[in-house]
Amino acid sequence: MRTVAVVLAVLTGLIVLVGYFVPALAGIQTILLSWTIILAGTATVVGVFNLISVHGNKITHREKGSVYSTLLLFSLIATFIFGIGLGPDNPNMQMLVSAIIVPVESTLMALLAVTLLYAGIRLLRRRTDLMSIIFLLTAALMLFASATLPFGEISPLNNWIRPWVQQVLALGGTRGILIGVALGTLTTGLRVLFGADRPYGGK
Amino acid sequence: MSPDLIVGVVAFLLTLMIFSYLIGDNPLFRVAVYIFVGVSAGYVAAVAFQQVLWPDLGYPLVYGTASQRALLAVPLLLSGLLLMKVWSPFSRLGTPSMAVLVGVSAAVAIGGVVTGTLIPQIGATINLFDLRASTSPATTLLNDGFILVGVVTTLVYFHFGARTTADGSVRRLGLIEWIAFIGSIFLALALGVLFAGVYSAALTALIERFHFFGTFFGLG
Amino acid sequence: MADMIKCSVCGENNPADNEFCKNCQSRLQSLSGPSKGDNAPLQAGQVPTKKVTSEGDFSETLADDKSSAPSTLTWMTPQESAPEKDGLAFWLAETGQSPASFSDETAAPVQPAASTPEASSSNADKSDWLHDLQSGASTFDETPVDQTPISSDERPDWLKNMDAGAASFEQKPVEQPVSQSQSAPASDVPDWLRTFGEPPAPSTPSAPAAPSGEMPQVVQPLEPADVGISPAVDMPDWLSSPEPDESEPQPQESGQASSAAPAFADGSLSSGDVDAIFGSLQMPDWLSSAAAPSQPLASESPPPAAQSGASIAPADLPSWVQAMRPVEATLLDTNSGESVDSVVEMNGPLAGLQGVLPAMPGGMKPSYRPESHSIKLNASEEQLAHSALLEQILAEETTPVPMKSPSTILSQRVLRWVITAFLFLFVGGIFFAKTEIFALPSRGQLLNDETEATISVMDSIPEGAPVLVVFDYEPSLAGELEAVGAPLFNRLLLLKHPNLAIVSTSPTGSALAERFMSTTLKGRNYQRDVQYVDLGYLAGGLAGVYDFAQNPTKVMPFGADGSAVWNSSVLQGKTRLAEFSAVIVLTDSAEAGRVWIEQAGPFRGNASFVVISSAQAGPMLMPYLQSAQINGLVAGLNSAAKVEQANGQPGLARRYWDAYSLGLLVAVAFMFLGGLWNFFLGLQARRAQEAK
Repeated sequence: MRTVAVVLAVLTGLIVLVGYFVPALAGIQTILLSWTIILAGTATVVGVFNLISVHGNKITHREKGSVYSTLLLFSLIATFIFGIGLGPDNPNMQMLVSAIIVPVESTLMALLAVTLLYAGIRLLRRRTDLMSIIFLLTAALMLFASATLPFGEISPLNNWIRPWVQQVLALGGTRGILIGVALGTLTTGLRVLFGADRPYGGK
Repeated sequence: MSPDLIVGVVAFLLTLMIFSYLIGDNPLFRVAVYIFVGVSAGYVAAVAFQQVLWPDLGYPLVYGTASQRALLAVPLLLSGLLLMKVWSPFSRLGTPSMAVLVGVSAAVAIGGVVTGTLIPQIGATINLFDLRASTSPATTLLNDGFILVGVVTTLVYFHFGARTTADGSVRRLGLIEWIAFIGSIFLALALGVLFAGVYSAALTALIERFHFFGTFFGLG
Repeated sequence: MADMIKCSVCGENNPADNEFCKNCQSRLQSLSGPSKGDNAPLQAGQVPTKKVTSEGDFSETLADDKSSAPSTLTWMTPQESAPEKDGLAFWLAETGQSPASFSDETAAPVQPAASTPEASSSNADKSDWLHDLQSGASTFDETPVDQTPISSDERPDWLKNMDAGAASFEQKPVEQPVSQSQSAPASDVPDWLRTFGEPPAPSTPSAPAAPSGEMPQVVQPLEPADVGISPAVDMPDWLSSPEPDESEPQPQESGQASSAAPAFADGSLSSGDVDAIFGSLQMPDWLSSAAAPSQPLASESPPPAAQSGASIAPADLPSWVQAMRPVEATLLDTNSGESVDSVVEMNGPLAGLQGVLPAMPGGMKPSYRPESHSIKLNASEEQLAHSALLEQILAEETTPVPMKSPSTILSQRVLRWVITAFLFLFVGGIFFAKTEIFALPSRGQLLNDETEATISVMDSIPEGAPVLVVFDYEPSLAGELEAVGAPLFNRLLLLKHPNLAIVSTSPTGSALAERFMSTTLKGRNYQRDVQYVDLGYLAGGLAGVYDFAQNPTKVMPFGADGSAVWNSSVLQGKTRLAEFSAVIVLTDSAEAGRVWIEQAGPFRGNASFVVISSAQAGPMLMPYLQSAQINGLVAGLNSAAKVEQANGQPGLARRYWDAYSLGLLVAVAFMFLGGLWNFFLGLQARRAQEAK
């Protein structure tokens, strides 16, 4: 089974990659891509089933926090049934999103503002080196340069320093990060295609 | 009771329950989070079924022609095997499906980074020194120099090849160390800008929550 | 070869007069008189014969005292052939009594055996042997036939005790020297003891010769054929080919030996008493059967005792004795360089004995001491350093980590509460105050301002053109993206009235798009399936985006509600990505934006590519703007405020701006002041730590 998996991964990957350069393989490439879309949808369902399984075990074994797991499973099953029955486009499902999903996620993101500020204050206590100081000074500068004052904006700051830092100094660093990430992605992809890395569980 | 009011009340209560985490971890916060996770998972599963599995698998299988059904044999088989991942005794059966997913995604990623990031970004760094369209060549040259130095030194910073020195310590080459030091400065600059952006986004989300409270209570 | 003695050690033939072997210098003759002739110790293959003594018959003595006669002595006398089990049981039952039961209460102390110097020396040797034997008397009784002949100089104590024992026993040395040259008064020694001194049968080369004076008589090797075993096994002579001594009365009663002197008391028994004891005892079946096979060998060199007609009947060796013999392993090894029986054991408790089975097959010299191996690990310095490092790591794992003190935790919590209070107070307060005192950021100051470029791109879209809009953000930043995207979409929808096709790679994207269109852009009054269509959820990540960019109609043939959208009036028969006028991606992460730029970019043709992103993704997408892979970038509320200024119509950006600016200023103040404070505190703490 593991050998079959490796062969499948390498074969399908090579066909898709060669399809970039060989038009004759475009048809097979498209077929493989459509299968991938279907499998990705199935993987989403598998993830939800796994969530049900984990919390179901918690309830069955009466572990600590099983009450919350009961709540989770109840809301999951109810939402799924309503979603299948009414359809995701139904206005009632839209209400569900507006009433539960958006408020909770937005509030969690709002909490991040407090946490980030707290981390920024405590940074120099934990780690005092040149990189930390430059990091903190840059962050403070960018925040200060993004804001305006009641009597007007600080023009040099808002219109020159901030764009220059963002589009020149930071651009070099971000471009370097992007190229580095791209090289890493390329290396990892090649390792998968050569069979050296098997994140899908092959031996 | 209008639907909007119900939506508003539920959203308001959940927002308060999440904000209660600022005081400390408490059962109200946990209830809100668990409800959110359950609803999100159920919604995502419903969307995946309604908009992916049914149109691409179920509908052709039920209403499609023979040739369409024949074409579905492989994805149907792979999907069935992937579903075996849920049960641990049979989870190994899902490996081929995962292998197809990973193989295709890896190939697409390779094609995308090469044609979409590596070549264009390296080309853009080179083209920075094309001063023909520049109105102020000196300023452009200075700025582009900074950008070039930033790109190169940041990439060198992530070079981790080292050798063992005479005293037994493992260090990079001296020149590499100096270049990497400059790269760390550019990296700190970039990360500081990113940190400011993240805080700005979180602050905007907080303001949006205040906006919701105002809308709900009619404060505007 | 007349008058030749074969050395029991090396097998060399020596003249009979020689006392020591000319080859190996081992003693050939026993030192004491009684070990010669009839009193010679039993050799392998010899049948012990009953010896008629002048002091009386042991059997008569035993018969006189029936009541107290121990039953154990019956095993010493030849018995009729009987089933092995009965004989075994009988023997075992009789050996159950203690040696003290041999004592005869009326017995006189046994006198020392010999008066001659040779005899005295032989007695001394005998006593050593007997003493040694006595200490292992119990094992001697149970062990199989692995015995070497007894030296003529050695004599078991029990035999000596018998000599000096009861008055009914003849006082004479009991121990029979091994050497053939020594003789003893035939009348004093029982026949079976007499045969100890006779040479073994020459037909078995592996059988040892008559033992020298050093070896105890009873451990002389037995003839292999005597008991039907291979030649390499050493059998005691008294087990080999004993002919039934008809002249000896069969002990019928178990109590016959009770009147005998104690076997292990010095001088308690005389040789005559011993004869009486042995003569009256009934030989067990296994002794009689063991004697039977040795008859052919015994016939070759009949012992003097046998000649006199007093011999022990051969007995069949019981199966359990045969099983205990370590015979085949050593006997079948013909590759050994020398005969096992001729080898004198040099080490261990059996030193000096002949015919000791080797510890290793093949006659190898056994090693009684295991080889010592160094337990020191042969590791290199690097390995030792690694092991020390590993130990250190493991020690750190078990080292308890000091917990933060409650005061530290409280101070952290208090700081967090203070921050929360400031943010809620200032930001919330100014928001609810609905102030507009903070100036919006000015636009158009820089030529390469990304916002201005985006506005230009939007203005270049033809009227009524199809525009692909990608909603790729999470609900967590829905508020920011709606605030950032609203001004640009308001401008686009108001000025260009495009037809929108909405797609999302996030499952909640359709819902967020519907929320954006119905709430944020409510004023534009865009209707679904009239001005915009929703293509739904695009699964598969970057593979799905790549496939959609190549064949949008094939990948998503229907809308989210299942309707045919590609032929509708909204999309006007568009089938490829390049046929759209613009592609607008709303994203909250740099990763999602990068995926669309990389995968869909090559297929967009001349369509404008605009990204509306959150403030956290803007810096990472800036390189794509600079490289012209995207035509416009609006990132964060700052850019949205500039677009609103270009629109001339205040929107959410203006609503949020005062609270946003104050929140940024509060953050700067906290970071500056708090950072300085913690910087000095951290320096102080580090100095204190370094001082320690």
